[in-house]
Amino acid sequence: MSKLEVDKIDPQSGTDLELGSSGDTITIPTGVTLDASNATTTLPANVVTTDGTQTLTNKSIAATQLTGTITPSDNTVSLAKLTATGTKDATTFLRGDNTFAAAGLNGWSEDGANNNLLPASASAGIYLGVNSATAANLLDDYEEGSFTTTLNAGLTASINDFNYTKIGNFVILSGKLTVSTSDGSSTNVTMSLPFTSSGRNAVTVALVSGPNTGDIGLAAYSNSSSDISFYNVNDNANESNHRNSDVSGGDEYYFTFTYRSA
Amino acid sequence: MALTKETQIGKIEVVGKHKFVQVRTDTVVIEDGEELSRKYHRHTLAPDANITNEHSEVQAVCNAVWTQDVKDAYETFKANQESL
Repeated sequence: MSKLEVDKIDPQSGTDLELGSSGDTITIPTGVTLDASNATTTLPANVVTTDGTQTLTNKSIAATQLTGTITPSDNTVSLAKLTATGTKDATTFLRGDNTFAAAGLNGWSEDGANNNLLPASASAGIYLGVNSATAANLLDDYEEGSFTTTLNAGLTASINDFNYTKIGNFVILSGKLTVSTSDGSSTNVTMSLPFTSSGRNAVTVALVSGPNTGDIGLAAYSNSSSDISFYNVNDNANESNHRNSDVSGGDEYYFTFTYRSA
Repeated sequence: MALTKETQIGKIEVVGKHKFVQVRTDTVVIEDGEELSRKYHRHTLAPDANITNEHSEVQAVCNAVWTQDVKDAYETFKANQESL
């Protein structure tokens, strides 16, 4: 390898100076400083290659010069490098407006790993069948549980076991009642309800089986209160109130009825 | 691993002009502070109900809303219940 030692290389004519030819590699060895700090430098299209690490010390790149795509070597950008506002945690996501916000609908969250939708407000619900808020289309209540009814005076029960499901303002109640004692009086038989009914005609369906004294069944109606009363449905005779006198110890009632709550 | 079962007064609701008090009692099973299950049980109290054995919170609500006027109105309502 020949060696040329000069202090300066200038073009022979004009202002253009070319080093090497296409395909050549010009190597600047380790330890050499290439100082172009006072020069105007035109860089090739790809300044930083995927090989090795390039460091631009004490230099900035004007935003107007960043017209391409910058891809980190590990293809990741840490959250710490993001300037987005909002809270960064396991419940938030980065929105298009550079803000960390809760996922999904405002005021609704996910019930942990169960994936159930959970509103922040216990009175919130879902509008069904409409695309604008209409009170009559709002399903905002659901509950299921057990229930112990309270009987009218003069009656006691040995088995008092009911279950209810409430969907919106509709209540489905079913269960069994076994009478322990009856005073045989003319007091109307009444049962309390888990939810106050909306009115006398609130009971839309009543399926009841129980004791009868010549009657062929029972019909239940609401007293516009927290109670249900019963009629004896007689064969070829007017209905009559179901009273303590119609009931004896050991009588069993099986109920499934629905009603509209207040 | 601590497993506990407790009852809580889940809801006390006052409904209607007769001020019926609807009580929901929640039975909650908790393991190491995490709620495993919650079951509901309901009962309803009319203004003429005996509330001696009710939870103190329920008694407080009943005593607050069941004024003498409310009790009298309910007695009148019961007396006027329609009979066949």
